[in-house]
Amino acid sequence: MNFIEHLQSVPLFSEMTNDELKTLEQSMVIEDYPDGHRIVSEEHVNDRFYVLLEGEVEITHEKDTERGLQRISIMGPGSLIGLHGLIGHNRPIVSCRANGAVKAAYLPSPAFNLLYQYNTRLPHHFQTVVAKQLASDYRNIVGELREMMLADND
Amino acid sequence: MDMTPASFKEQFPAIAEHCGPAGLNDLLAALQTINVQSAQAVTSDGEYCDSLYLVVEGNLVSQITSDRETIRLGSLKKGDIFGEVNILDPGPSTSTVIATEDSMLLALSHNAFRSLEKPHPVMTGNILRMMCSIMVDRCRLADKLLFSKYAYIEGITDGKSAQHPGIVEWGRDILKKLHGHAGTQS
Repeated sequence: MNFIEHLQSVPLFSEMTNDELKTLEQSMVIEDYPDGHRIVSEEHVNDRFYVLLEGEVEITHEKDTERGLQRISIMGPGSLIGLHGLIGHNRPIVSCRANGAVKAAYLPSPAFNLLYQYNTRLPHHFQTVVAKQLASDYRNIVGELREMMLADND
Repeated sequence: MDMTPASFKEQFPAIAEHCGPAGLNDLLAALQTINVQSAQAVTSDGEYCDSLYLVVEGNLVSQITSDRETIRLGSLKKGDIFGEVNILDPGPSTSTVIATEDSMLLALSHNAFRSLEKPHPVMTGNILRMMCSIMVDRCRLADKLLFSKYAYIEGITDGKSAQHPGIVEWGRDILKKLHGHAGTQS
């Protein structure tokens, strides 16, 4: 499966046309990562936005916790990684480590910012992808938060 | 809705600042006026919602409900906005919002917002970016609560760090913050 076919299989990118996906492909760099490679770290400011193409990535939280390393989830192909750090201009809120061999496409920070700032059709679609992912992340985090809070109140 | 561009700018400057004259006119035309009576729910926790709401008149409260109790998150008044998540990602509401007096709202649905993208890409792009920044800030706050249960949370009270004795009080504070309520629940 090539890059465009990968993205076409991701619901978030379903509104993008083939031409837009081709433009995105030209802006992104595809890389292979070995098992255990830390793609995003809470320790460092992240300067890339990743789309996971093949393999699995383990999402963990280990900084500023009293309970040590927290395994949050495993993400598969089509997942978007690195958004929060890039948009918030801050350290990422989680770490992402390759769980086995991983292939991912990344957009360097300058290209991401370019896509995120200019208001033509492709950037607008890209912004929509980002906004939907962030809203979904927020909904998931608040859902977990509520479960924990209400359970603790029992 | 007979709201003028000038009154919209005055009541909702955070949105209006991203709108040119033509964009603002079309945005006003895309807004749907909703009159709610006291005790009527605008959104229900867990039920589908696809709109952003702007409070023009009246007062409302937002709350979450478990089997055993209702936790009030805060109040909403003229000039306040809620539903940022739902307009970006239509789905279950993250809280129930109920009018505590007869109120008037403006609703911008996901589809109505999308219909503005083609004629006004700059305006909608800027509003999208504004909402993305809000989402990132809120996710970071929520994450701090989730993964550092008894650590310091910055910015809860007037920018000062505060330490809370238990998860319930802390959770209430952070949920208020996450839902955009800076004030104390009355």
